[in-house]
Amino acid sequence: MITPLSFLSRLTTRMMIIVIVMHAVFLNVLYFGLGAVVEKGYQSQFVDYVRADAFNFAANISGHSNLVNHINVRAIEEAVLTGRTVYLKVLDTDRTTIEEIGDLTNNDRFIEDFVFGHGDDNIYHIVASIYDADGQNIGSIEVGYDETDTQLQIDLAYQRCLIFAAIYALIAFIFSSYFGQQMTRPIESLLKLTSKIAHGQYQTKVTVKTKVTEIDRLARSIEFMRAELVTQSDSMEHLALHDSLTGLPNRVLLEDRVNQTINCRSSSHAECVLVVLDLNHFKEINDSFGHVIGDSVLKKTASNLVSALRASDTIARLGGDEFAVLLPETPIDSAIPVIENLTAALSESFICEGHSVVLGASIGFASFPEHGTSYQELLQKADVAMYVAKRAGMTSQIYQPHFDQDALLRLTLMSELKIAIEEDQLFAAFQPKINLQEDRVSGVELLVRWMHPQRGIVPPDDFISAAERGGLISQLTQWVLRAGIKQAAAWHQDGRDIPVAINLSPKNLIEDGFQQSILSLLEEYSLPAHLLELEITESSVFADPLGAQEILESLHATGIKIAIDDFGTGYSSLVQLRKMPISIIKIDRGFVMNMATNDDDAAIVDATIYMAHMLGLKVIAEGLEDQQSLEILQQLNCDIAQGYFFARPMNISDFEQWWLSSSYT
Amino acid sequence: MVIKRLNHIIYSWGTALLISLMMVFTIQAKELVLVGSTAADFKPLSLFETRKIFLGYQVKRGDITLTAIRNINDEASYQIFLQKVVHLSARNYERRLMSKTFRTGTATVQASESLTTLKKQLYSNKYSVSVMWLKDVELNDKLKVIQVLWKEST
Repeated sequence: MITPLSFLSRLTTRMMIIVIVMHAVFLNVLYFGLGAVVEKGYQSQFVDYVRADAFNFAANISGHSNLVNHINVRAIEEAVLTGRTVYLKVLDTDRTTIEEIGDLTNNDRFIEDFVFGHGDDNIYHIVASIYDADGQNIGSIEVGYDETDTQLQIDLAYQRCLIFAAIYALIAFIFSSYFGQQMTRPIESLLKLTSKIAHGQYQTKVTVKTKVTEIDRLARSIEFMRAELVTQSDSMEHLALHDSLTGLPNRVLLEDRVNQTINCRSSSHAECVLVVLDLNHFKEINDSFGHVIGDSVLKKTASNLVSALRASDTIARLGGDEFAVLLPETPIDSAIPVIENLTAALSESFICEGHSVVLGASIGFASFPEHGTSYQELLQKADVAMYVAKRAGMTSQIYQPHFDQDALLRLTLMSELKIAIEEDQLFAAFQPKINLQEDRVSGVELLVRWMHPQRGIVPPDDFISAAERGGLISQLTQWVLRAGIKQAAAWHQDGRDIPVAINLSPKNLIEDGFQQSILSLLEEYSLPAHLLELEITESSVFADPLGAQEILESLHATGIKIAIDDFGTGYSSLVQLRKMPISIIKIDRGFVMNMATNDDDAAIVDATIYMAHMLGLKVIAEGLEDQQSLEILQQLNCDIAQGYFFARPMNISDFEQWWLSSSYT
Repeated sequence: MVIKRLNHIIYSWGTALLISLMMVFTIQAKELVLVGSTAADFKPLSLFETRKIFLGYQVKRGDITLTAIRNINDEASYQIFLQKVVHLSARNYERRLMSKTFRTGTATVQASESLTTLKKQLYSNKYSVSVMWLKDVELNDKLKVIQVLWKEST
């Protein structure tokens, strides 16, 4: 909407206003200046004429003393008839009229004029003396000249000035409008084009037809800017939609392609297949040869996969060693040969640092619309199929509705766990550990539990593995650490020093800043470090022994106790553990639970306790469920035990009640 | 057009009013006279000679060339002078003087805007003449009337 203010602020309007104001001033000066000159000129011309004529006439009839009485009437008549003379009167020295002719005025008193226009009679009255031959005044003539013609000429001059000024103003207005339009039209065009560019429509080339150099240069600059924006936008779009390592489309672009295919509902495009494949043995290659070789393997794999696909197919890297392929317009039967091609491509060997490596992959696939009607659904089901294939050791597997619901649950939990952490659906459960020598509580182990709003309590094994797979283990561990340290600090302030043991994932040990985050929490809650125990599995220590040793040593140095969890299930030995800053060993529940009935398990527990004590380590037996096992452990001089025999893991309020009623406190 | 007419009326009526007022409010009829220094002893100029001298032509008395000085101090007296002596319009008179100067190389007729200065010039040169109202000459013993050029009709 054009408001009066915006109308006035427009360039064309301003130019027009300037032109109008300039011409209003200029034309007034021209009109009145030129008019005054012309008027003065006509008046002077008239005055010259009447003065010359009157005195010439007087001079012509001077020279004879009697002449005044014998005036040539015809000459006077001629003057009146042919000139501008209105009347002429000859008088003697007594002002007696001797002769008169023409339209005489009726004025009682003759008043001579000395300037043009005096009086309202349009007659210039003038007197000229008549002399005789001796120069004596013998009378005078009074003549009246008509000013009307001169006045009409003056009026005509003013009229013409006005007409010329009007024509000039009109032409100036038309020209300035035309040239104003010529200037503002390309600017308006540029404005529209820049507005389009500002709204992301970069494709229209900026061109304007103008002969104004500055506007042309402006247009070229904007076109240059647009071209740069297009280039940058394409580059950014490519970065946003492609994997930087392999150059393949990423998850976002894949989703877009799948949605496009799904939304194209014509019969010929009705079916499509989404394939998810996960490389086998890639982790080993990465661990053995390093990330540089791992990356080159991924690039080579991507290249091989692309070669194995049709032109219409879309392959994307989902992350890590996981890829997905969209097979558009492909019924499930037609997908089989393509998947066989993929399998063949992946079975080719790579040369890594002189070693021939065969990767192989687990492939799962799902079909639209049979198995799912959205991208998320198809991906989830193809992933389930892939997981089943991997578990079963198969190369490929099509999704089947009866597949293990746990796999589906695992995938669902992965997406819901993030919300659970953010919305505080998790809670801490505490299981006491009893010192067998002193019959008192020596600490508690914190076990995280998830109260799902729909599913109820979710078993920890289900969601912890989902967290590790979904990259949420760091957030989950942080939640657990905060809950444990907060509770231990509360007990500490209450006068009860109850060490809290917290389980760590192997992935926590390779996180940047993990150690600092623990120290920050201890400082935040003012908890002495010796009241915190961290439990790690053998596998997490020995996956990267040097890195783990460094982190564990620095944590141990602060006073935090380190425990090896599930000892006996891995492949480590006490000799290897000796190098680690470990204080406690927790014997896996599998040995403890069967100890009473299985002599081998009892022997392993016995030997483990013996050797641990020899190395100066404390031993905790997990999974104690009966009196007989307790007695054996006491006989074997086990330090600490925990299990259902003493108490199940309890929420904090149940734990506090147990604490009050227990004989171990 | 209205403004032009207004200008015209103001200009013409201004001068006319000036002249008319002089006529109405002056008890004594006004007279425009040719004046010179009291010391001037040359023969008085005829009207024709007066016209000649003010048009820049030589008028001599013996070997002495008389000098004319225009009195442009007063618009009304100047217009009467133009009509009665020079018989030209102001514009044409100026053009004639300028044309004659360019043509002959002789000095133009001097003009004086100040009556006091004019009188001093007349005192200093007894061969110079000028035009002024009779009332400006009366009671001035250094100036004398050489000739009456125009007398207001009563």
